[in-house]
Amino acid sequence: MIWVRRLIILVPVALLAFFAVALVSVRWARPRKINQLTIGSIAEPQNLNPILATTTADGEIHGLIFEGLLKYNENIEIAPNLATSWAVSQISTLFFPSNENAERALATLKQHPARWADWKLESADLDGARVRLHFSNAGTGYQESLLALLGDNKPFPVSFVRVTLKGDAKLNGEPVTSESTLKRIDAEFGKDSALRSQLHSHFINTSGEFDLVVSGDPKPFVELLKRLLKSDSEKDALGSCEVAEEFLVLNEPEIRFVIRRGVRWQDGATFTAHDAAFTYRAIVDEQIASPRRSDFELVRSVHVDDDYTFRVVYRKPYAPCLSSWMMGILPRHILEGKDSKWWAQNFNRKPVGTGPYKFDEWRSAQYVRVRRNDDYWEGKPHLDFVTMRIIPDPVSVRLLFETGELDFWGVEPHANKKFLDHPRYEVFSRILQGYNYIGWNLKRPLFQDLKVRRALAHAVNVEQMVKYIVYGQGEQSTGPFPAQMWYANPNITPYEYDPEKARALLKEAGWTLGADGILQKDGVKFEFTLITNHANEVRKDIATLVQNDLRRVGIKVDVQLYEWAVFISQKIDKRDFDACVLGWALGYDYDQYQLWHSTQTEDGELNFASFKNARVDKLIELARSEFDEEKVKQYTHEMHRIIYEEQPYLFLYVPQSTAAMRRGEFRVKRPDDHARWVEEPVRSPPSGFRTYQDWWYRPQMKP
Amino acid sequence: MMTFLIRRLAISVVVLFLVSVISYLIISMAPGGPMPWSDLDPKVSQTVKDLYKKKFHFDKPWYQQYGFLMRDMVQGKLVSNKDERPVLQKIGERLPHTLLLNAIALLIEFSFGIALGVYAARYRATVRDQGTTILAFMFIALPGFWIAYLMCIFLVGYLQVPLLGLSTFGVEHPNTLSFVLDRAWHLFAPAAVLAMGGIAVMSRYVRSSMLEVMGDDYIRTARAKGLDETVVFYKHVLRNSLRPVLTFIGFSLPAMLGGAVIVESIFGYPGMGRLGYEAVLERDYPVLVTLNFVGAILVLLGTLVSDILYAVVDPRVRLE
Repeated sequence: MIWVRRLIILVPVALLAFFAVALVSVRWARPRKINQLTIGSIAEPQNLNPILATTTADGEIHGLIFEGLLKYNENIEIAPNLATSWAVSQISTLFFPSNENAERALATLKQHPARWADWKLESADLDGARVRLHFSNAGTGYQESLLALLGDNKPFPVSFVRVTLKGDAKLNGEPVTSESTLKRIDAEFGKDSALRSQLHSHFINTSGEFDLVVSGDPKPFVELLKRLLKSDSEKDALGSCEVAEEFLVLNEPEIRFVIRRGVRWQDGATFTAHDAAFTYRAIVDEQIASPRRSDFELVRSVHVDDDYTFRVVYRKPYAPCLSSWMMGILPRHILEGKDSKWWAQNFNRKPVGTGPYKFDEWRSAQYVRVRRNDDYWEGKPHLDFVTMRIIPDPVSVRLLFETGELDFWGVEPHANKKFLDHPRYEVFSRILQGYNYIGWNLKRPLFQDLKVRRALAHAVNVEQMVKYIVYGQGEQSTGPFPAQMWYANPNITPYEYDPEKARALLKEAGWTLGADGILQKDGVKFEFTLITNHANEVRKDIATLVQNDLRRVGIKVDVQLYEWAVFISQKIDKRDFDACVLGWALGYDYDQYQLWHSTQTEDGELNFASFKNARVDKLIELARSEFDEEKVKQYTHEMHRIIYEEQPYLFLYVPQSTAAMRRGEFRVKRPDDHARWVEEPVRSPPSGFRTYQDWWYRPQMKP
Repeated sequence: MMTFLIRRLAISVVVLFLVSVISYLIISMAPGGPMPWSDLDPKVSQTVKDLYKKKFHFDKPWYQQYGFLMRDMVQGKLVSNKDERPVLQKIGERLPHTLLLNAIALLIEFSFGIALGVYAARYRATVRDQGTTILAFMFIALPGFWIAYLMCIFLVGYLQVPLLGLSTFGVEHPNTLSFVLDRAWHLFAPAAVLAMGGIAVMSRYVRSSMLEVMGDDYIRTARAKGLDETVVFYKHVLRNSLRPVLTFIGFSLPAMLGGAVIVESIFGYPGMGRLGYEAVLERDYPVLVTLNFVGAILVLLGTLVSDILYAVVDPRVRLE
């Protein structure tokens, strides 16, 4: 029986010995290093298709593979990319009651040629009872003065009449769609020439929703449509109909892109304007359900004039539309005619783009790797590979960086000090595009008094928050726009921490200190619940500090934590909260319609503070339809000031992010805006823009 | 035996059906719904959300959703609602890694657990026995994630040995041996942490089982025959006390595929635990239901295997 005994001893010993040998081999064998940049990510990318991707990890990879027609340069200005240039123009249509009116209007305009240059009006022509104006710029800035010039000879207003069909509506057994309903409308209006002449055009939004462009009074039109939407066989209506938007003039801007020649897809095919048009069609395809769709919902039509000319016509002036063309362009020759299942199987995880790196390998839960695109139009990149390792644990990520298995690391605030002064590391700090805040639920009576909200702003010590929560990695926020952007108002003084002032303001508002040390007014105590999501340490800390600060001025705050899904779906979306701690991460454009406009306060929409201010509504609308930066600035500066004064949020701070790499390990050699090569150390531009990672090289492996 | 198997199979089908319904209900009752993007992304309009719901049938009542899900599952066409990849493919790419890791963990667990148990029983009621007892309790009491972090900090931080992930990153191996050793080393750490608790439990099992057998009459008889103590111990005692260990194998089956979220996360190991965890956070219903389903099958299979093994080892047990 001695073998059993030996076996029992030998197996564990052999195992130990084997692992010891493995350890020795791994520790002391130094295999050759590959010329690559390795970055770490806590989250795994989900989708490398730019029109479906949503996460930061997705963006870091598909940003290397795909390119848009336009891009931001390091000063966050719009710059050419796959399009070498672009021009914005606009056709505006004035609808008149009769041909004579139109002729008279045109004559009036022609009497004032001096104004044309101000308006950037190039030409005007007549089309029956309509006058068409061709502008060499887009926007609504000309409108007021032009209409004043016409005096009593007023054109008809224009409305978008929206028809929303019921999801399961059927007529004669056939499902009712936008297409079929439009056909019925067409047939119906054949009988009524008066109404027919009002109908200018239509846009299909989805199979269940379309807009009709109607001039003149939309009411009889809507009535007729409502009748039409009552089916014969069913009692219920097939859908609803309402006026979605009204304008004085129909303004349809157009962007004309000149497409870069000589760009090839990573599989060798030539890149043309057809690819851009295809990308648009894919984004609005309902089967694909792209999350980027809302950027393109205002597109009326796209046109490919030739392989290198691409035009996009919009339904109304929407200035941020230019930046939507930074969306990565998809290869038509690969994807056209394929369904979304095919995309998922064959493209979303192994995409083909035009960018500096091409897809190489994706091992789930391990890494995603891209390889150099030797054929890249801007020049050959320097690294053989860029790899994103997926390590879900933040401590492990840090270890990997410190031992050299990762080249670049987003330093956590608490570790910042160590890396900031370390001779071995270089550190890049940049201000982020966003801010943390406390959102007040303005539906609650407690927060409806502006004095109270201002008092709260004085009572919370933001400086201390920045110092202790993010270790100095932040700046006090002055409102909805990040201070480093051109559209932010630079002349706003933040509310200073002053508990005395807070107490005085609260007293003015009628709140007096009770016997228990809590403020009260008319028998109601000043107490509320501050909620935030469970997994976010920073937000938990913010809540604790706010609780403490407010206690000092006599306000009792309860802090409650919820799991993210509950927090959003049960509390925020249903407006069932007093105050919440949250943060916004913003894009580079200034349009914040969804966040601040009074129409966005319905349950589930993003203006969950329920902030309503008529002036801000107007300014948001003006800013998003204006293409002239100087004018946009006026609007956004005023908006910035009003929102900060009104304090629907207690704006806390704009966080900074810090990244570290080993000193001197990488340098940058990149083409600048004029296609000249620039060599420089890795740096972080003041705008907080990226660090040209696609043009990094290792000096010791010089290209 | 045959009737036993048939009956078990019939029960299993019912159990599996119930498991699938209940797991779907629980998952879909959890607040929040499947959305592959942030709830607070202003760029994602209501239209987009509606289109997404329509695409994956989330606009239907739960029993219809369940129906679609089961239909797709039976046809093998089930896709994740996160990235539209087939669920089987997603599980398939994690499975080999999890199997390998757990096989090594089990190997460590059994070899060390049995050795330690035998050692403790052989030197029962001595300082050596008490030493193993303390060791076993330590292994049970110390949390795995803590040991994992300590290993990482010590091995990676101080000794500068690559440890995380499936293999050393960003290097080219000169030969296969170097590659195999590298892989083995990266398996060792997570497997050791996973096996720790098992070693402790197993050693206790073996020890108490051996002590029990040692008091039996036939052992006294063996000794009375004048057999050598080594033979008595390793042949008569050990063989008869390994019965509970064998059934242990059956119960280890579900654990083999279950994966371990925390250990996998810390060591950056691409296993099933992380897949399940991420699916929960992202409300990826198809993946979750399939994982639950597979888990249930394994539990049923595990109990079946241990029942059969028990009958094989112990002639007193009959399966009917």
